[in-house]
Amino acid sequence: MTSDADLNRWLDQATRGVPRRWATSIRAELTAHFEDTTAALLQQDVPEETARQRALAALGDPQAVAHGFNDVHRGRRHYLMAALACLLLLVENFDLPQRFLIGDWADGSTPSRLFYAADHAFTIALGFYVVFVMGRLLVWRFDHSAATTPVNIVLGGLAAHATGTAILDLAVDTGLSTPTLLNASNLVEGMGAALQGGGILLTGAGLIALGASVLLAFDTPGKGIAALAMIEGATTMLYIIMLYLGGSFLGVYVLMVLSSAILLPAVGVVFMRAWLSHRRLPARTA
Amino acid sequence: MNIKGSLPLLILHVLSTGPRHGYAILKEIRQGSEGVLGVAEGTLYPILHDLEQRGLIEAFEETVSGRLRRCYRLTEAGRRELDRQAAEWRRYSRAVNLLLGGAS
Repeated sequence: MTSDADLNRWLDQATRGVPRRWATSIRAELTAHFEDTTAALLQQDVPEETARQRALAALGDPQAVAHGFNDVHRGRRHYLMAALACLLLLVENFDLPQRFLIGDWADGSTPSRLFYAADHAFTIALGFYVVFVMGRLLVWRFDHSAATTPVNIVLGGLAAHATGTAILDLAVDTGLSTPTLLNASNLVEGMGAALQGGGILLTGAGLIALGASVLLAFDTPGKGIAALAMIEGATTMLYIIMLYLGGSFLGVYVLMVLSSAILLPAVGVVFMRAWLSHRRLPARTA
Repeated sequence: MNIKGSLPLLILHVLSTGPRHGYAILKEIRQGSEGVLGVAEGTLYPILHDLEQRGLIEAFEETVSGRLRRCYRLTEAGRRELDRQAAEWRRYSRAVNLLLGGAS
């Protein structure tokens, strides 16, 4: 028995994830289509119940329809925002907010700690978002399911990095007799440092895996960026390892900053192109 | 026959003969191809919305058979795109026919 509940369930699935302002009119449009098909079948003396069943079946797979609508009504915005996020990350890459917004950003005072923590959290959130959209672009638009795991590894690494950084920003005593916000013990500091370092290593490993999977899967597009992502991941990992082994390693750090400075505009351009070219691509309905 | 890839071209063609709502577009495609060309009907609508976003067609609301319906009409940009896609399709089908040894 095909009831209104069956149709509503189909419509719920077909509009899943679609922005609300579109979902209502899409439901009305698809309901009208269903009613037209049913009416046409009734005119051919098909029994009502059979007509409704056939009309619902003719609408097809609701998930494919939802994919198509999400592609049209939700997809583009992300690409533009990710391109802007790349630009902001590039600005953050050279610590420009710290240099220009407040002069004594590293003086250890509570406001500077809060500013530093907020700035770090913001930077990592931007990175998280860029990787999320990068994964979406690869996994969803190009049907490249092999990229799912590396994307998740990078996201996991960024989450651990963010947690560790927040602990360090808010808890580490700078030796200036300033009360720390979390009244940190060595244990808290150690945990923050471990989380931060582990997160960066995981992110680096994820970037290498992501770059490798793209290099193996695509013929031409994105290969240069994939190679850059691998260099970025490798230098980041190398820098952290050097840091823990015996102090800072300036050469690797410079390479890391340089690779970011090339990678971010490159990824930003890909996002901009995805945003612009969406106008020329048909909606995905498979 | 599944026509997913060429559906945008067929939609633009059908709308070049006059405004229609989604159901009428599919009916026209099915009847015009003597029932050969078909598609999972729900998948027509994301493509219609995509063509609308690209400015190739525009939507308007109209009461049809007592019901408020979302109808579509071709824009000037859509007409140009139809000409372009139709020419491409003719070139493609001619090439396939040449290979198969049939008439072009």
